[in-house]
Amino acid sequence: MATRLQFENSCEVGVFSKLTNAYCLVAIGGSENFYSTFESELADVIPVVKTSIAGTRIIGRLCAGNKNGLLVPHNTTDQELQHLRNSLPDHVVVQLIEEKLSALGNCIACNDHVALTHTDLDKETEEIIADVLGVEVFRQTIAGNILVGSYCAFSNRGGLVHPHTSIEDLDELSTLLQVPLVAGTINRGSEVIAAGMTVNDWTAFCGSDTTATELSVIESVFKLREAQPSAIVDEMRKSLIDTYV
Amino acid sequence: MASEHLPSSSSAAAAATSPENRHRSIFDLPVNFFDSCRLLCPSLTSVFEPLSISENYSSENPHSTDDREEKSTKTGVFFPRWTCNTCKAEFDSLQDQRSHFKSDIHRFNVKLSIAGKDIVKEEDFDELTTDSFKDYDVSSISGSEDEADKGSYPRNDASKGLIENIRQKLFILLQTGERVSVWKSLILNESESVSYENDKDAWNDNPLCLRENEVIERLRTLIQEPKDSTSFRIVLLSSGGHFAGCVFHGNTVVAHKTFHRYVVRAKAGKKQSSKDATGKAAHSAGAALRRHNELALKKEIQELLASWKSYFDASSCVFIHAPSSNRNVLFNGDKPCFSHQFCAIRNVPLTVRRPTLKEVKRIYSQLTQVSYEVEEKEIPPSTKEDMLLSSSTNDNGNHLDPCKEELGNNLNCRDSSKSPSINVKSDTISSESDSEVVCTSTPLHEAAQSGDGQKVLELLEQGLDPCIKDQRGRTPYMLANEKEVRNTFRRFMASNLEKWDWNAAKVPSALTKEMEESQAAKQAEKESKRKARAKELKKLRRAREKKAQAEAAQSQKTIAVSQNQATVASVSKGWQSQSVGISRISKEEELKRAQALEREKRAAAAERRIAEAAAATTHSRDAQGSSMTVGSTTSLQSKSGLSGPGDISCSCCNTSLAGKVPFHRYNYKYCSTSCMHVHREILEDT
Repeated sequence: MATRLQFENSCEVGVFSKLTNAYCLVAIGGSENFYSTFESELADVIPVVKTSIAGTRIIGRLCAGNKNGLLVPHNTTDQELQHLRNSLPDHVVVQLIEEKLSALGNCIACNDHVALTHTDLDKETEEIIADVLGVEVFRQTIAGNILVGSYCAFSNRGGLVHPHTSIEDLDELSTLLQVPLVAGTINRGSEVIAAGMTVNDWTAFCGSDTTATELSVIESVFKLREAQPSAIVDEMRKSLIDTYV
Repeated sequence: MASEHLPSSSSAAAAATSPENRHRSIFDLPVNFFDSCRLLCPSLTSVFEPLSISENYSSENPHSTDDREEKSTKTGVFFPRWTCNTCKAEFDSLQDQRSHFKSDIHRFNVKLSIAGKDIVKEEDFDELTTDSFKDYDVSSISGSEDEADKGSYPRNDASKGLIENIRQKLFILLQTGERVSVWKSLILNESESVSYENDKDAWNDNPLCLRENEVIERLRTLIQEPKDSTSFRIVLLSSGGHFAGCVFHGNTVVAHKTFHRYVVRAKAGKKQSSKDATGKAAHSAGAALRRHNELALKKEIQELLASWKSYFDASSCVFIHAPSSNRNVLFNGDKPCFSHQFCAIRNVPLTVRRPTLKEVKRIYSQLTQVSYEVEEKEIPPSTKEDMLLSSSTNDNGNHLDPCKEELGNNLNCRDSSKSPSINVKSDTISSESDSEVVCTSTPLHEAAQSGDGQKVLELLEQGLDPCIKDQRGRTPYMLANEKEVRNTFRRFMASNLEKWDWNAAKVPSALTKEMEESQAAKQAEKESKRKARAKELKKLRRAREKKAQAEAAQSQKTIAVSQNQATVASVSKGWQSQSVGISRISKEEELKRAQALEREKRAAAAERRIAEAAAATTHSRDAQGSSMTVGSTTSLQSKSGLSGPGDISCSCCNTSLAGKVPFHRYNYKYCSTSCMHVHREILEDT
């Protein structure tokens, strides 16, 4: 299910959080509301970690990650890195990237299998992305925007891209990424998709300005209605349990 | 290697596609290629327009029409789209599409399309990246510079660089009437130069000067070089922590190796060692890392060079590009770190980008390339002048000055006299020629930079424009390091406010006479204030010193007093006074005093015994018994009164008896006889 929330009166929740299938990072805010919303949705499934990156709260734009790993920019402090390594599950690799483009969240969009990256990223960075996140890396733009991480959000089940993406590009991208894509907006018409929302395979968090229409598009393209962590068990219940006593 | 090259925009497109107008590697040439050819003197021949330089501008245009056609045919294609809309390409499978999206050409095209330019086709891509698209660094390595700031390659630079190229090249008129050019450094050592027919008289005596037939002979041997022989050419590039070395045999790569180490200070630029050399050594972890990396890189390179010894021994020449401090990686002082007795060391006469294997290959293919020249226009007078100008300015102090009138020779003697890398030279020249076109550094700039206020004023009065910017966009005012020079500008601005656009000259404000006076007054006031304060401080200090002295004297005195008191007063009292004195005296003194006290105590006890004995004889038995204690003290007093007249006073008038010999009657002491009489009467009355 998609949840609407705010971070200290800002609807750009994707800026202040990073959600993946294995962990969730949230910024340290003045109030606990933001954190507790995530906590109530996710706590029994994946760890919700409060952190800063490079001393800032815009963690969603600075880091990129999926269930395999987390990439943090070169200006991340040692303490933050240690905190992340301690808090995240052991199988998640936390890797610092020496790359002049430090807003990795804006430059990299990824799910657990593929990643789109900024064209100016170094070859070495591209290799690190491929190794740490276990993805195939493609350099592409979204509707002529070079910041692919900002203008699209996709999970393993679907994706939302910049509203000006042409049909051809949409087809091409969905072929490339092997997920269904839809062009749309977030937060009552905002085109910076990834800033307004954060999504994984079974839940999404959107800015509180998001309209019902936008929300229904999101829920349908990311297939969130049927997708709960327990969905698979529910689906297989019949085959798992022979008889009710 | 052979590929299509389009001519400059001015020449006909048809001529470009003719098959013989191709740039070929010298190793691919037929054996009789240079038969009965003639060397052309650059000063006499017209300026050629090498084809490769203009490629940049013309090559993209034909594709744009193709692209449009392709686009129109493609609109019908639908999902699943194995396409790349950016590169206008279609693929047979997802694998093909995915590999395309990872490729350099796709990335390159994305960049081009974002910059609003036409994309390039895959067929042309390799050729384009090798020599024409110098402004796009395709193989990205960490630390790559920002591409944005050098987005377009100005036409002007190209034509200026062309003149430089002409000096580095040999032009040959073939049997067929075609003109070709090869790089001089391919066959000539730096110390060698070519003599042309028309100036043989000037060069007869120079042994390093090659005759035309010798040059041709060398070219012939080069192309007749047997394919199976072991004659290598080695290219070594080193700059900014990158090293690339490659051994070539003919056109094939025999061995290659590249290194990269983090040595250049991020953002600040320059290597750590050059920063350290300025005297301000940083102690950060990064600095230590870079220092270590520099050493490690040097070690790696030298190990590699050692392991390539067999190649070096079998090579005919080594091309080197190692600007400034990179040189000492490859050279030990003047001696190279590799064996070179059989081969000549030559500098790379081309602009070298980041040392990578690709770059090495590009450099080599350019160096060994024989390019066809189109004979199309006469040398423009300005360029000719330019050549003369730059060569003559660079030739100052050259021992071969007399031969200056011949331009061709001049250029050659420059080559021979300049031992450091040709690239350095070409850079300076190209920047010089740039400056003549775009913006210039004027005498005013120089005067301002040198801090010569007088000269600046003179020049300004002569009417030199202070708004002119130099190559780096700085006005003379910005170059002025000294305050006096800046003030000169401001003063001049005050008197000639309307003459120039002072805003454009970056002079912040005028400096009038009144302002200066008021400033001087302010300064004087400040100075006097400072002086007064200094004086006051001095006074205060002196007062403090005096006080301290007085205190010290005081403490000395009290110690003395307490000592005296101790001797005079009873034992208990002495201890007390001593305890007061303790705080002021040092331990040694204390010890000494304790000893003295002990001595005195003993003396006092002895005296007491004597006094007792004396008292026993003189006084009556009863009186003695009653005043035993009194007697002891008084006797002590009387005795010690001689040694230290502490607080003994006259028994009648109570005046101090210090320094006097008292009058005695019984146990009393008096200052005078009259006092004694008065006292006796008082005693008798009572």
